[in-house]
Parts: sequence; C-alpha cells; structure tokens
Amino acid sequence: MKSLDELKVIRERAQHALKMRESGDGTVIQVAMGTCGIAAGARGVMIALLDELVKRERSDVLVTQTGCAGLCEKEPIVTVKEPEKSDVVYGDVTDQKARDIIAKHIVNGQIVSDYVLNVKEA
Amino acid sequence: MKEIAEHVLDIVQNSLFSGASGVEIDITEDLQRDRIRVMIKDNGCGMDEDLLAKVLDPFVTTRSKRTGLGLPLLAQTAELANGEVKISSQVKQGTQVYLDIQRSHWDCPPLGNVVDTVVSCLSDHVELMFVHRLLGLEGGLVGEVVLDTKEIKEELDGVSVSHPEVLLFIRKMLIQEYQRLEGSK
Ligand SMILES: Nc1ncnc2c1ncn2[C@@H]1O[C@H](COP(=O)(O)OP(=O)(O)O)[C@@H](O)[C@H]1O
Ligand SMILES: [Mg+2]
Repeated sequence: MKSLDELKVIRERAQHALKMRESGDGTVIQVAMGTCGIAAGARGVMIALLDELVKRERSDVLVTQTGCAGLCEKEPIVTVKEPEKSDVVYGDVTDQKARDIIAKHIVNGQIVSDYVLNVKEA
Repeated sequence: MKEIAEHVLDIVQNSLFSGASGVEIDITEDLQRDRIRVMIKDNGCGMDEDLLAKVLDPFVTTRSKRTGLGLPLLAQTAELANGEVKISSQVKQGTQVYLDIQRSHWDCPPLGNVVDTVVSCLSDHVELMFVHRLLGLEGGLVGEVVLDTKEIKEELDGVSVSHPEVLLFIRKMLIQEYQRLEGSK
C-alpha cells in the first residue's frame, strides 16, 4: 500500500529528529474545544497549528485537545505550555492567528501579545 | 449543535475525561431504512446507576468548569430528528452512548467535519477504532471508512500517533477514503 510507505518515511524522519534533539523540548500546545458550539472553529485551529508546525519543521511540539476551558465566549482558546516558562493563553484564535502563534511564539520565542488572554505563572 | 460530528467530539471528550484508554466510534448511515446510527464506546470509569439515571437532564455534571449539556444536547437532537439516545454504563468498565436518528429529517444535522473530529480525538494518545459505513438495500454494505490506531501504531515503531506529521498523514488518508465513500453513494 502506497500510503503505508509514506508513513514509513514520516516514521524515519521523526525517529531521526528525535535522536538529534534528544526527544524535543517538551513544548505542548493545548486547544480547548467544548460544548460551546464553537468546536467547529477549534478543530480548524488545531489543523492549522499542526500544519504550520510541520511546515516549519517543529514536529517535536505536540498539539492536544482538551475540554471546554469555561471561557466559552473567548473560544477557541489555545494554551502554549513550555517547560520552565509560564503558560500563555491565547483567546479568540482563528486559523490565521494560530499560524502566527507558531511563527512568532514557537519559532521565534516571542509571545504574540495582541492575542494573549492571560499568562499563568508556572 | 450544528453537526453530528460536533456531538461526536463532545461525547468522545466525555470518554477521554473518564480516563478511557480506548474508544470506539461507529457511524452507520442506513440508506434504505433512512437512519443514522452513532455508537461511542469507551473503557473509562463508567457511571453508577444514580448518575446514569440523570445524565440526560441539563446541567448535571461531575466536573468543575463543565456545562453538563453534552448529553442533554444529544438527546435534544434525537428528539427533534425522530430518534433516540440510549446510554449504558458499568462502573470501572466503561460507557456506551448510542444515537439513532432519521437521516432525511429536516432537523437531522449534517454529519459535518468527521475527519477533523477524529484527528482532534487522536491528539489525545487514545487508542481509537473508527468505522463509518454506508448500508444500502437489505442492509448490504455499500462502502466504509475504517481507521484503527492499533494498525498504525505497529507501523510507527515508537513514534507517537499524536506526532503532528502523523496526525496530518491520517487526516489526508481519511479525506481520501471519504472521497471514495462519497463516490459510492
Ligand atoms: N463516557 C463517560 N464516562 C463516564 N462518565 C460520563 C461519561 N459521559 C458522561 N459522563 C458523566 O455524565 C456527566 C454529564 O455529561 P455531559 O452531559 O456531557 O456534561 P459535561 O461533560 O459537561 O459534564 C459527566 O459530568 C460525567 O459525570
Ligand atoms: Mg460532556
């Protein structure tokens, strides 16, 4: 099957990258998607984050979903969790903002203050 | 909710909250009988009889910050679309949620973005068995989309299913499978 060959290539690349980076730096991005009826938008944000990470060769960063954050009017909400840093919570995230967050925060290490909802002490 | 896929995401989130390590999602479109059936099964903490008896009432929740509306909204969709919701659960064993609605009903929501729902669920390291089948005359199988993360894990040899490239790969594969399924309608 052709598609499984592709999976093998991804696997080899990922294993190689893991060796080089000693298993990534442990950064995790959480996307809240709840019963708020904005789940549709949140799924698109998740795909945009994944796509931008892969384009920028930062597949060591994981993106996970989580339940409604209790701030429904600010959804979709994205939280960037970097080891030994404060969590940064972004609100009203769109696909485009999601791509900005990867380019500026993840790749360049600069918090995108325009979209920040709050910063939680680690 | 606007899409059946949003309900699915919401119900699977319950399963993930319940500590499930495995989830099964089964969507069946029965063309001849004009029904859509959705079954979501998990091996999480389950519910006792008291809780089970009231989970379809609005605002019943055992979690802080949650709305307690997921299952009531599902029941509402069923009621509007000439159908029903059934839930069974066993403490420490798991929960099964079952939806059965009329496919052509005015109030039957569109299936919506099932692919991105599945990809979102997969980001949570869960073992997932996903099947979407189309049944035609006499319940005969017209076509299906199947995703079993166990099979994918074997190919991955230690790389996580939630690795961004793997998730996008699975998404691409599912989109292709759905195009094939659409063709067989
Ligand atoms: N799969 C499940 N496993 C265990 N408990 C569940 C499951 N689904 C629902 N429940 C219980 O039912 C309650 C109500 O669920 P729901 O209507 O989706 O609201 P919410 O998720 O906001 O709490 C949950 O808080 C939980 O206690
Ligand atoms: Mg819920």
